[in-house]
Amino acid sequence: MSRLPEWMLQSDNYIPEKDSDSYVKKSIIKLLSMLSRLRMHGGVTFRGNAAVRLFVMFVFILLISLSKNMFFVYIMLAVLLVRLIFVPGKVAVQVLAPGISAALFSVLMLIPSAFMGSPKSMIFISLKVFISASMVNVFAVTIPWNYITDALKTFFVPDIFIFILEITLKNIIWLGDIAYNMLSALNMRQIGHNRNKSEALEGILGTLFIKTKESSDVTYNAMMLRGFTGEYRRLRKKRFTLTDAVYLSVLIAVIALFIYFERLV
Amino acid sequence: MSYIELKDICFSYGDIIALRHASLSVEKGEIVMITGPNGCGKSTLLNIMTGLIYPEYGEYNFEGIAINNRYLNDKKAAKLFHKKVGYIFQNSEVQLFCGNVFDEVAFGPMQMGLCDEEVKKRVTDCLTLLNITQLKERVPYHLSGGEKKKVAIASILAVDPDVLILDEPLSGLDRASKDSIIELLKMLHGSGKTIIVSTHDELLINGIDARIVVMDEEHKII
Repeated sequence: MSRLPEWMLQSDNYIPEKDSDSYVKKSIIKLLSMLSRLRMHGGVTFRGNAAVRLFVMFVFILLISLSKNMFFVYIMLAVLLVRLIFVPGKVAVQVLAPGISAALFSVLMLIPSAFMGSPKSMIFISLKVFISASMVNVFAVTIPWNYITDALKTFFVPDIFIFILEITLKNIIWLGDIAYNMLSALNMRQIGHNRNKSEALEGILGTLFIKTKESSDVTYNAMMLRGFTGEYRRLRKKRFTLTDAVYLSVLIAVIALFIYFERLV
Repeated sequence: MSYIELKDICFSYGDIIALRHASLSVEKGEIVMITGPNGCGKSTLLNIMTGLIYPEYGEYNFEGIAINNRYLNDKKAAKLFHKKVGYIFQNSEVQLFCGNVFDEVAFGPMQMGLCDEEVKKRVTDCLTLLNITQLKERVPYHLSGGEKKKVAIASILAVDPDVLILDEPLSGLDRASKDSIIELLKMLHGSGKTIIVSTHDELLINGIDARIVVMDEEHKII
């Protein structure tokens, strides 16, 4: 092995230049919060039947979108709020934040209708969007993904769709970790003025893209070698709990209310 | 006060405890090897030393300065700290993001504002030192695991850090490469650099006359 070069034997008298590189730090913070949210979701404990929950959610959203009666929509809002009482505060925020964003977006899109003489429809539609989006979020946040894919299987969703969904979910966390490490490494190696900021980020994105492709190929091949023929089979015992029974009872009551209020319109 | 000082450090990932009241002092020019079973918190300890994460409890001092979120929020201080403390990740491919090996090694020296001649000299010297001159035009992503590791080490050495922290530096290397890295670490230590290594590799533990720090399954330093 060759000897250490002269410059390595002396200490650098280095004073860093000013440079604006907060984008890396911001990206790291954003990524970390996303990863912790996803990990928190991975740790959710669930007892019950995801298929029942999926069915109830689907019917609720269908009824909300079909309803022409504001009072029925208020009832669904009450149902949503009652459901939120049973989740921790952090989860409630996770549920409500995207719902509020979706509702605000609808308000923005429907502002012209308010000026055209139907401000009620703006509120009506935005409220429907808020409730529907929040209901989907309640389902997504409180039920682990493996149960969700199980539930999809119950409703005869094609296996290829479930396969892609599972691989994607698995890769999001894994790639998030890699992205976090790469951004941290970039942050640590940015010891001065970086003239080509975009180049480093392009490199990270390129690597992530190739890794995603390679990882999904390897996973698929590994599954094939273990006998995967394109069909998903699960041995998980399907439970039916008291909570599921409550869900179904609420669903029946909501359907009855829907019929009643729609007859009044 | 020691050059590097960790006092009563605690850290956890959610409910999972990674470090429990860990204390460690490292003097300037010392070589320290941290060893212990998988999941005992070695990498977390190194991540704290490099300023990637901050202890939940306890204190980390480098050159007598407390390294914490507030200190590293000062961009200039953070850059100087990262110049002084070089880190080679366990999965070293995560620290490679440039178009070719030459640019990868030149990334640090370029930012230091060195003249082109000096940058070229540093890159050539580091590539020669790690015996990877033939790789300089290659895309880092397509290199083998061992080659990536060597490129990562070269890219850190090019900025001439005072402290070199390496997480499992011999993992994925063949015997000849392991020997050359051990030789390199000895030379760097001989030149006065402070070196902290996390390892399981007996070849490394037996190959270098270093202070051994052992961590246990309770996430404590014994």
